Amino acid sequence: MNKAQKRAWLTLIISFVTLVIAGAVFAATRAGVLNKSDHLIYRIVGIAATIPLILIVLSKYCPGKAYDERDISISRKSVIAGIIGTFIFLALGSWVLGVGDFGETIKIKFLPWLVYVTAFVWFFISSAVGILHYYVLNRGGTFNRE
Amino acid sequence: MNRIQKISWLMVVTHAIAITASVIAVSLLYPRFGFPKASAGLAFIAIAGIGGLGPLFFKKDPGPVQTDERDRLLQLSAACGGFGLSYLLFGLLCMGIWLYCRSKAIETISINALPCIFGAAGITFFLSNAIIILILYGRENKNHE
Repeated sequence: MNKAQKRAWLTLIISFVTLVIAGAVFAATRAGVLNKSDHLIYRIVGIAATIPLILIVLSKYCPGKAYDERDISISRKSVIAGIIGTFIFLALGSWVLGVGDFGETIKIKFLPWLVYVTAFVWFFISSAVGILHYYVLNRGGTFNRE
Repeated sequence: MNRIQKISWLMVVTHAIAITASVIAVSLLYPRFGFPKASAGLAFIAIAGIGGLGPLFFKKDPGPVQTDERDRLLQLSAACGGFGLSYLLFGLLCMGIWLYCRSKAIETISINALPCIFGAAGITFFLSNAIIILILYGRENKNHE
């Protein structure tokens, strides 16, 4: 496993866990499990939310062999897939919020959530497509090089 | 000028016309009718959709090779740049609205704001992607000369 593959796996795991936690916090807030007046919990969640971003930035320095031409090509494809996926997510998010039981208005606290979750959707899709390329679509190349 | 540059120019021109026409229409309608009726002027944004028909308007370049490695690299850089700018605008709009509403103690906004925010991000992506392609090709051509 080279540096690009390790980074893709790390990003995939971090973004998946982050999206699951974000979804759980969202569901708990909607269900009334979390007390809305308890601002301390939301402050702790807000500070903890920066940890995945820091980890993804630090994953750039993970050990391993340097990138080669094939890694760069896969990285390009995964970036494009991430962009397409993010726009689809935004369109679907708009549709779900529009037709869901949110009424004619949405709470303004959804907006920072959207910015945060959109970034992690991009990380998740681009790393998942990168891993798909390494282990399924370009499998022969990986074995030849190793 | 190759096919990608022609398509990018069409995209830039149609987007510029669409945005200008929308701004003029909204500013003309607003004093008479006010919002939300004045927002009907935003319908001119649909002109930007003509930019998406570029691949149909411009025929493929003669020869078996349509794009080389350099073209693909430029397109990828432009796509990344366009996405970065559109996400920046998306973040600024969301956080700006959030900060403004918090300062005015407004708890909710209309659901119609979401498609507007996402649409603005989408238009920024296509427009900035086309502009970056033109800039990168211009820079490359200057380097070759």
